[in-house]
Order: sequence, then structure tokens, then C-alpha cells
Amino acid sequence: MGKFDNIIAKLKSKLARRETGFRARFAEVSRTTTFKVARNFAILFLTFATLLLAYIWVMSFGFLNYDADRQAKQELNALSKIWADHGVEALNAAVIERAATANENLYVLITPQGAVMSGNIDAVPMDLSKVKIPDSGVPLQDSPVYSSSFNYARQDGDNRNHSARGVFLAGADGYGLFVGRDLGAGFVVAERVTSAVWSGSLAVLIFAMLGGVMAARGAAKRVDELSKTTKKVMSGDLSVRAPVNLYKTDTGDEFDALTDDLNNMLDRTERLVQASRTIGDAIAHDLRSPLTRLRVKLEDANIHAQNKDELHDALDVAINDIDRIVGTFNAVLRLSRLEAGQGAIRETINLSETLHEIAEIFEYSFEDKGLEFSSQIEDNIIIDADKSLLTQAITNLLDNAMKYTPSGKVQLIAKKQNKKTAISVIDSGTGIAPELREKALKRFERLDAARTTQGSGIGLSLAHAIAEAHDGVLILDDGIESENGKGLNVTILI
Amino acid sequence: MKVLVVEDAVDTARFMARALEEAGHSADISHNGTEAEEKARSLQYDVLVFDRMLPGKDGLEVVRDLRKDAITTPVLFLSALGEVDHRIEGLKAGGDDYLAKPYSSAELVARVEVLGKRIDPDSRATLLKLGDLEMDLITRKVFRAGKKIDIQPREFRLLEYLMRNCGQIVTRTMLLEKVWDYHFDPQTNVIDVHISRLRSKIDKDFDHPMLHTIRGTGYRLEA
Repeated sequence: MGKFDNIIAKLKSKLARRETGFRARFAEVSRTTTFKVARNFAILFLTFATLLLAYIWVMSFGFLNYDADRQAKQELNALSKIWADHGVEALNAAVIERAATANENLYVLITPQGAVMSGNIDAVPMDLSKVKIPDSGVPLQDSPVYSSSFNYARQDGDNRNHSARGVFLAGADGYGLFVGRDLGAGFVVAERVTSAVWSGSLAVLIFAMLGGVMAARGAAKRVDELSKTTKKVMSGDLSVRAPVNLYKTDTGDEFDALTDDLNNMLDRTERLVQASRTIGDAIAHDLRSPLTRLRVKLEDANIHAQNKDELHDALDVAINDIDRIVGTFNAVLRLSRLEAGQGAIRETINLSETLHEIAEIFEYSFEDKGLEFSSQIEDNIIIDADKSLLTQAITNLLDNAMKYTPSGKVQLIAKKQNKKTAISVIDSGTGIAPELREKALKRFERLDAARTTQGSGIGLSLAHAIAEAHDGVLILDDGIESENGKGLNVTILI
Repeated sequence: MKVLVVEDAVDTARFMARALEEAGHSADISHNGTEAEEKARSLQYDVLVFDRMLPGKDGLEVVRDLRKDAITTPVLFLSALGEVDHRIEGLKAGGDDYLAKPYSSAELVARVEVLGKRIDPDSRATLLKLGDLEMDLITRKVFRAGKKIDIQPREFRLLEYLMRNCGQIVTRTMLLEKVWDYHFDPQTNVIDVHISRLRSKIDKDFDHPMLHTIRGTGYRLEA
């Protein structure tokens, strides 16, 4: 017995769980767009069906009833005339005569005691308790007429329940006349139409809900895709992108635009996050060593300086070092900003003029160093660029050329190539071996030569980043061969 | 020259004021934007030195409001924000010059002095004269002691800037910014090279030098 109870308890709890599970699921489903759209569709169509039904009802039954009432009244008027003119006996004769041939019309004549005198139905099909018998002497045409709607069973073998409308006239003498009118075949048709509309509405309702679900599912599916993407991003994976609708030709709807925007936003966020991640590394990498050197120098001076002059000299050196470190710091910041897609202000510039100015500035410095400097700049190269950044990139390349070219020549060349512009700085210096070139452009990979020469060595990476910020590239190639090596040709192609 | 130094870091403000006083100017200190605005409105200063980020009221905002009320005292902005767009913001707010932190005290003093002289860069004068050095801005010719000096266009602009600021120390960074419109330091010492070229043209073969190097700071052109 105990075992049986146990099983019942288990079953009950299982049922309860299933029910709460179902409720939870329903709550979840009822929140979705699909559900809401389907529900709204259903409500809309149901309202429409109800209104349609009401209209049909009024148009069919209303008309049938009205017509039946009119005919019943007509008949009643005719009979009440006989009643008024010739008395109840004449009326009785008329009712008997008409009832015998009547088909649609129904008659009942009752005595003051309520017994049926004549007619073709068994009783007056209405509640007579409310009927007031007029005071004696009130003419028949002024007596009240009562209407009713009723069903009756015909005596001619037609077993169907017929609907009819009728009117009842009570005379002052206590007799009462009822005249009814069968609604006839029209009623059956109207009934059929009504039930057809009802069942049709049910079908329409189902279709409406299906349509709603289908319409909403299309939209909900796209939203689901987007929400899946954002969830992944929130969980830390910045590399995911929302799937773009590739297969449909009619792209460009709101969802495509939203997907595009989301993806662009993610691109940018990813870049920014990466930039902020690397900026810490970059600062550590590019600034720690010079700061360490500076600290050692100051510590050394603090301990070993013999007199004030030596201390002053050490401080002068330290200040110079700090200025250089600030320069590096600025370059690192600018590089990080560029890599985060920030900081380039494009405007239309005359590149030829800009380059002539740069050449002019550097000319003397190269001359002083005993290098042969020449520039070949095509006239009127007009481009959209950030003048300040581009100037810095080329200045960096010329700085580098000056540093790594012990003897020989340096050239600055600018020309149009197809639809692009190539700006090259070519030197006869030591050059960079082909296998090291890719490394040389990377932020943290400074070549050994650069490590032993003064300067931050960040110049080439910065020029690279500036070229990329202009949707361009920086290409490293062999320069002018000399006793120093193969030389270097750095070309910014934008 | 009377200068108002607005800087919230107390130490820095004190060092700045001391550097200006040592150069022969008087300096007031304010650590707060609201207070600085009151001072700038009620007292006569030759130059206002504003940090951008200040307690009370932001430096940019103060200067914007001062300019709205037609107070035209020259303003030098100092800021830890040194990128080109920050600089443009400062100039748009009504600043006359912009110096990124950190800076040397010599740089600060030199800039304040140039600002305090209120040199109009679009001055109508077509002939600049300093001692026996003459510069015709229309024919673009330079003479010293009546002798024509052959000069390149870029050197001409450099000399023009020096002449307009004659007697003042101008730093390398100032020359880079004002003459070449460079807002970064090239590693190659291009300025020194240009100055030495210019010097060889205007000073060599004449009785006394006019273009002096101020060690560790910059240059000065004197009669």
C-alpha cells in the first residue's frame, strides 16, 4: 500500500514539474516577437471576422425578420377589420378559411378563457401573461399589438423546426388573434451562411496565426542571429561578426543595415581594444630602456660627481634624455592613435609643394653630412591626405636615411603610378636584408642596427602606420648599391 | 611684463613663476579656473598662461568666455594633450599659442615674451629694419649695410620671423612651428643647419654678428 502511495506521489510531483516547466516555457515564448506578432494578427482577424458576421447577420436576419413582421401585420390588419366590422364569429370563419389554405401564414384565435377556437398551430407561441386586455369600448384598431419571435413544429410532415415571427392582437371582448409568418427558406440560407462564416473565421484565424508566426519568424531569426553575435562578444570574443545575408539578392533591408552597422562597430571596437592593449606594451617596450638608462646616469652622477660642474653636466644630459624620451612617447602615442583608426585629418593638399618644402629643409643637413641629396618630384600631385602626418612619415624616412647612410646619396622621388601616388626615399646605405624587412615594419621588432644607433627606431613603424591610415602601403626594397651595402628604397604608395 | 600663470599643480606653478621672474617679468599665480577668470577680468595682464584642465572651470572655457567679452589679452595654453586636434581646439577657443607638456622653462619664457610683444603677423609694414639689416617684403630682397644678400625663399621666411621677433629669444620648436608648420621634432637637426646657413649670409663679412645662439634654448636676432 505504502509503495502505491509512493508511486502516486512521484507521479504527482512529475506532473507538477511538467506543469511549471510548461508555464515557464509559455512565459518565455509569450515574450518573443513571434508570439506577439502572431497574437496581434489573430486579434486583428478575429475582430474582422466578428464585424463581418455582424454585418451578415443584420443584412440577412434583419431583413427576413422585417419582411415577416410586415406581412404578419398586413394579415393581422385585414383580419382585424373583419373582426371590427363583423364580430368574432365572422373572424373565426375567416381564420378557419385562411388557415386551411395557408402555407407561410400561421393563425390562432383564442377565446377569453384561452382555448383555441381556430387556427393552424396548437397555441399562441408567446407568453400571454404580459398581454393586457384593453378596457371595454376601446376600438380594435387602437388596441396594442404584441410581436414575438418563435419556433414551431409544422403539422404538414415537415419535421424541421421552423422559425417564424408573429403579432398578437387582444380585443376588448377578451378574444385574441395571433398572426404569424414563417421565415421560410431564407432563414435556412441565412443560418447556413452564418455557420459558414463562423467556421470560415476559424480557418481564417488559424491562417492569420500561421501567417503571423511566419512573418515574425523571419524577423526574429535575424534578430536571433544578431543577439547571438552580441552575446558572444559580451562573453569576450571580439572577433565574431554577425552573418551577412549573402544569398539573397534583395539585400539592403533594415536588418542588413543593422548587421552592417553592428559589424562595423565591432571592427572599430576590436581595433580600439587591441590598441589599448598594445599601448601598455608599447610604452613599456619603447620607454623602459631609455628610462632605465636615464636612471642609471642620474644615480651615477649622484654618487660619483666630484664637483658642481660635473653634476650640472650630468643634469644637462639627463634633461636632453628626457626630451628624447618625450619625443619617443609622442611617437608611440601617435602610432597607437593611428592604429586605433584615430587622428588622421584628410584634406586636399598639393603633395608636390609639401615634398619640395621637406626637401628644402633637409637639403642642407644632407649636404653638411657629405651626402648627395636629390629630389625628383612630379608637379601638381593633388591628393587627399593628412598633411601633417604625411610630412612626419617622410621626415622619418629622411631621418632614417641620414642615420643609416654613411656615404653616397639619398633621393626623394614622387610620381603618379596608375591612380596611386608613390613617394620613395632611396639611399645608398646599409639597407635591410629581404628576410628582415617584414620584421622591420613591426612595432616591436627593431633591427639590431637600430638598437645600437641613437633614436627610438620607431620611425619606420610610424611611417608604416601613417601609410596605412591613408589606405596605402609601405614597401621596402633594395636601394642604391654601394660599398655600404644594398641600400634601401622605402616607398609609400597611397 | 605682467603675466598670470594658471596652473593647478602648485610646484609647477611656482617654478613657472620663478622662471618668468628671473627673466625680468612679474608673475601672479592662480590654481583655479574660476579665480583665474576673475583676475583676468579685473587686472591688467600682458599675457595669460593657462593650463587646459583646471579645477573650478576648464581653461578652454575660461578663455572662450574672456574672448566673448572682448578681452584680448594674449593667451598661451599649456597642456598634457599635445596632438594636432588638441592644438586646434586650443586655438579655436581663443588661444594665441599652444605648448604641450612637458616643456622647458626657457621655451615657456620665450613664448610668453613673443606673445607679450603682441606682434601682428599680418602687420602692414612692407619694410623691416633692424640696425643695418633691411628686408623688403614686396621685392623680397635683403640688404645689410646697403649690400644685397642673396637669400632663398625658405631662409627669407626664417629671417622674417626672426626680424619680427628681434631682440627676443626664439626656440627651435617655435621656429619649426611658426616657420615650417611642423608640430613634431625631426630627429635631424634641420633648424640648426638652416640657422648656420642664414648666419653665414647675413653675419659673415660684416663687422658684428646679429644672429646669436642662446645655448640650450634657441636664437636671438639683435641689431
